Amino acid sequence: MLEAFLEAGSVLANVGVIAYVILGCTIGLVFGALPGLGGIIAIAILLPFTYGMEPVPAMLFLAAVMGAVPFGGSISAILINTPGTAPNAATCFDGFPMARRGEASKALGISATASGLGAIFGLIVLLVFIPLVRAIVLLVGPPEFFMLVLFGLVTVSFAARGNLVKGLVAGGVGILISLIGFSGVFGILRFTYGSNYLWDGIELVSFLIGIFAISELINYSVRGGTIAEERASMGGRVLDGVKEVFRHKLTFLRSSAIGTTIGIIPGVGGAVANFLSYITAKQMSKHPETFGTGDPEGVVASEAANNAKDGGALLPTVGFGIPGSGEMAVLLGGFILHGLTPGPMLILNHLEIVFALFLGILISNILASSFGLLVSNYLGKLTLINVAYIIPVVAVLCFAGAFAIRGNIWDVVLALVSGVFGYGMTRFGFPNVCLVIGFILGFLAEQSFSQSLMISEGNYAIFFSSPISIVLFSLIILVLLLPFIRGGLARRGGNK
Amino acid sequence: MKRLRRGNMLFTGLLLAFILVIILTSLTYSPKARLIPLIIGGGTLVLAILALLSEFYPGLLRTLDVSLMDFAASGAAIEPGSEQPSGVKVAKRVLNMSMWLAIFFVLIYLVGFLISIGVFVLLFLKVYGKIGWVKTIAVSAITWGFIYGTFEVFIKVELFRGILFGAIVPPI
Repeated sequence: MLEAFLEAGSVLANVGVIAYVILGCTIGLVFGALPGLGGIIAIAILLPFTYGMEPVPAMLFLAAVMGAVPFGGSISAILINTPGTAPNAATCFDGFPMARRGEASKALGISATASGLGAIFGLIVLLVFIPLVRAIVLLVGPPEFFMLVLFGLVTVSFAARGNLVKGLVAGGVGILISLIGFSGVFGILRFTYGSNYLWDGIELVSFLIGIFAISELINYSVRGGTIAEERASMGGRVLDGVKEVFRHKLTFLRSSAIGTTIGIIPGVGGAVANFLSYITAKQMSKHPETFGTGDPEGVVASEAANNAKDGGALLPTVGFGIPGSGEMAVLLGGFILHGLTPGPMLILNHLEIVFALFLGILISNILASSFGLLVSNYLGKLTLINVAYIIPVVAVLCFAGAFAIRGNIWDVVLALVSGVFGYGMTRFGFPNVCLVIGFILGFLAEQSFSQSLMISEGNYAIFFSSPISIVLFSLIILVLLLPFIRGGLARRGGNK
Repeated sequence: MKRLRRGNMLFTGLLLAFILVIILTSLTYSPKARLIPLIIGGGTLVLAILALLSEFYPGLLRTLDVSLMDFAASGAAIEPGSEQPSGVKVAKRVLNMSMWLAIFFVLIYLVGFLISIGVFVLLFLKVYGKIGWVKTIAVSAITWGFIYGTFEVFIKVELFRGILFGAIVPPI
C-alpha cells in the first residue's frame, strides 16, 4: 500500500503535474461557481484533454477538478442564492441570508473551512477502509459482481430525483446502448445495422460530452439571459468564518460522517448528503428556529457533508466499479479512456490510481479553500456573464474534445445527437445519471452475467449461491419496495 | 402543461420504439448473445410502457415519485436552473440551439475546425447574443487561440481540416 502511495505521490514532484493540479482546481472552481455546469460536465469536457497523459497525472488532474467544484458551487450559493451545483442547495438557506446582512466573507470562510476539513474527513475514512475493501473484493466473483451492478443501478434510479420507474428506464436504455457494437464476449457484431462507425460501439467520451455538456448548453439557451440578476456584496471577516467551524465542531463531525456514509451508497452523491446533513443539524440544534435565517451552523452542516462525500464515493467506485456519485460515473469513463477496467480488480492491481485520486482531491480541496477564498469575489462575478458568451465557448470545447479522442469526425455528430437526446431525457424526467451509469456498467454486467453462467454451466441458481449475492439481492428488493413502504407509512400516518 | 405532457408522451414513445427495435433485432442473434438484450430490453420495455401509461393515468405511478432527496428534505431541493419557460417557446429555443450546433458541425465538416471555430463563435455572439463587435472579436480570438494552442501545439492532435481542404472522412 505504501509503495502505491509513494508511486502516486512521487508524480507530484514533477512541476508539470503540480501545474495540472492547480489548473484542475481553478477549472473546478469556475465550473462549480457557474450554476448548471458543475463537476460532471467539467470532467466530461476535460476527459479528452487527458488523453495523452499518463494515468496517474490524469487522475490527479480530474480529481483536482472534482475536489474544487463543491467550494466553487458554494460561492454562487452564498453570493447569489443560486447553488452552483445541486449539492450546494442547502448552503443557500443560511449562506445567502448571511451575505444579505453583510457577512458574505464570513459565510465563505465557513464554507471554505468546512469544505476543506470535510473533504479531509472523508478521505481519512477512505484510507481506513481501503484494506477492508481490498479484502472484500477478493470475495466478489462474477455472480456477486452482477448483483452489485444491479444494486448500483437500482439505488441510482432511486437516488435520482423524480420517478423510480423513469430512473430504471433510463438505466435500462443506457445498458442497451452499451451493447451496440462488437461483442468481445460472443465474438459478433450487434445492433450495428451495417454501420462501420458502430463497430466499436458508442464512443464513451463523446457520449458523455453530449449527454451532460451539450444538453446543458441547450438548457442554457432555453433559459437565456444571465445566470444571476444581482449579487450580494462582500462583507464580514473570513477568519470569523473559520472560527465558526471550530465553534460548531460537533455539527461538523456529524455532518462529515453523514456525507461520507451517503457518499458510499452507489450513485447517491452530494445533494442527498447535503440535505440530510442540514436537516439533521437543524433537528439536533438547540435553536432550530434560526436555521434558514443566516445561521452559520447551517452552512457548516451543508458544506462539510458536501465535501466529505467524495472520500466515501470513491470507495464503491474504485473498490467495485460502481460509481458513488454522478461525478464518479464520469470518472469511470476516465478509467476506461486510460485503459483501466473499472471493477473489483482496480483496487487490487492499480492502487496507485486510488491514491492519485486521493491526493488530487486532498490538494485540490486545500487549494480551493485558500486560493478560492481570495478569488471568490471574482468567481461570483462570473455568474453575471450573459449565457450567450458561455454557449459558443463550451460548444467549441465539446466538439473539439469529442473529435480529439479518436480523430473521427462522426464522434462530433455523436456528441451532438447525444446532447439533444440528453436534453430530452432531462426535460421529460428521465435522469441522465442513470442513463450514463447503465451505459458504463452495461458491458460489465453482461460480462459478469455470461461468466457466471459459464461457471455454473447454465444454472441460474449461481446468482443466489453466496451470502453476498443473497444480501445484495435482498437489498435490491428492499430498495424497489421502499416507495411502497413509504406510501404505506404515510397513509397510516394520515389515518391516525 | 398539456404541451409538456404531449412532449413527455412523444419522448417516452421514442424510447419505447428504440427498446422494441433492440429486442426485435436481438431475436436474430444466437441464444447466448441475445440473452442480456432480451432480459434488459424486456424489463425496460415493461417499465417504459408503465411510464407511458402514467401520462394517461397520472395516479398510476405516483407512489413511485420518490427519491432519497424526499427522504432527506421533503423534496425541498433546489435544482440549479430548473426554472424553465414552457410550451412552444421551449421547443423553438431547443430547435434554434440544435440548428446552431448543427451548422457548426457542417462548417467543421466542410472547412475544418480552425476556420469554423472563429466563424461560429463570431456569428453566434453577433447574431444570437447581439454582442458588440469588440467583445465579439475578442472572445472569438481568445477561443480560437485557446483551442489551437491546446490541441495543435500542446496535445499535438491535428484537428479535422475539412473535406474542402482534403480531409479524409471515415466511412459511417
